[in-house]
Amino acid sequence: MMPGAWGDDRGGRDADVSRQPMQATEEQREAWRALGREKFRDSDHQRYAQSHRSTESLREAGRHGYQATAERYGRDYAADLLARHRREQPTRPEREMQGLLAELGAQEGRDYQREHKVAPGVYADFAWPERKVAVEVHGGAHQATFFLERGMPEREERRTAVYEREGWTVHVVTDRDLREGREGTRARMRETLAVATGGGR
Amino acid sequence: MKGEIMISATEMTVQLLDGDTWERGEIVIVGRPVILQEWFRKLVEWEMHLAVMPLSRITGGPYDGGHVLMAVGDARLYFAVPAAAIPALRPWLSDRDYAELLRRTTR
Repeated sequence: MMPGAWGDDRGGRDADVSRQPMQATEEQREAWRALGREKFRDSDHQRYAQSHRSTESLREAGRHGYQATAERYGRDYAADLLARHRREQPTRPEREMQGLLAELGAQEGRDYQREHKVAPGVYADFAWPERKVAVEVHGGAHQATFFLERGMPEREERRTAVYEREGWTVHVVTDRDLREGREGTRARMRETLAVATGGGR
Repeated sequence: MKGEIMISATEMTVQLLDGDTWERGEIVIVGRPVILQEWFRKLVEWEMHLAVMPLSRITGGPYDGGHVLMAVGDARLYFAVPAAAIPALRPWLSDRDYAELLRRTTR
């Protein structure tokens, strides 16, 4: 059983979750006091609260659930927490893609990002943010009849539309591509890397 | 058990959720409820493991007080699990995850 990553407050590359505690002016504190619970809807307070988060505050977030966390720290923050956890819990096809990229000399963190935020609520499985290139790895659920009948294609269309709106190029690699067409996929990824890294590979 | 209603594992159900929607913080049910033991069999069949997410607690609705757990294997699936089912999850979770789930559940 893979150990859980709960409570691990590593910073990582969550650009939206600042690691530096912010300082609040006395005027700001006074304004927040006057707002009462409404301060949780204030974006400055959300940024301030996020910057002061701790392992304990994350644990409390889990205790209270998504909605309470979103209310207190902002919806983006709650979504970022889940994205970070997904990064620590890759699916089997995602692990295979990591392996394939490693064979091509690309390392996570140095050369590409995982669960990178493209837009609120949309995170790329694999991303090269500088060139706005993403790879989405579709596992078994994407091809399962059960999910195909329950709106999966429409959801993927919506995601693709977001990528396009944000100016990203997205490549889709399926579980089958990785299992049965690995050499072809490797060649595709080599081309993708060449574009994503400016032809440096 | 004094004053507590024990629900047998044959009665407890979990519920698959729409993953996209859950990742945005909303709970939308997909498909039918699945009895706990059937769910466990499916997880074995699908070679999935369970993980406790940083945010999991459900407030309101039929799973009030329960948790959303992530199953990871070929894909990532999310399930609403009632609080009463947590002791049955002990073999499926790391010590740390299990303790955390209990801590989050204790009122």
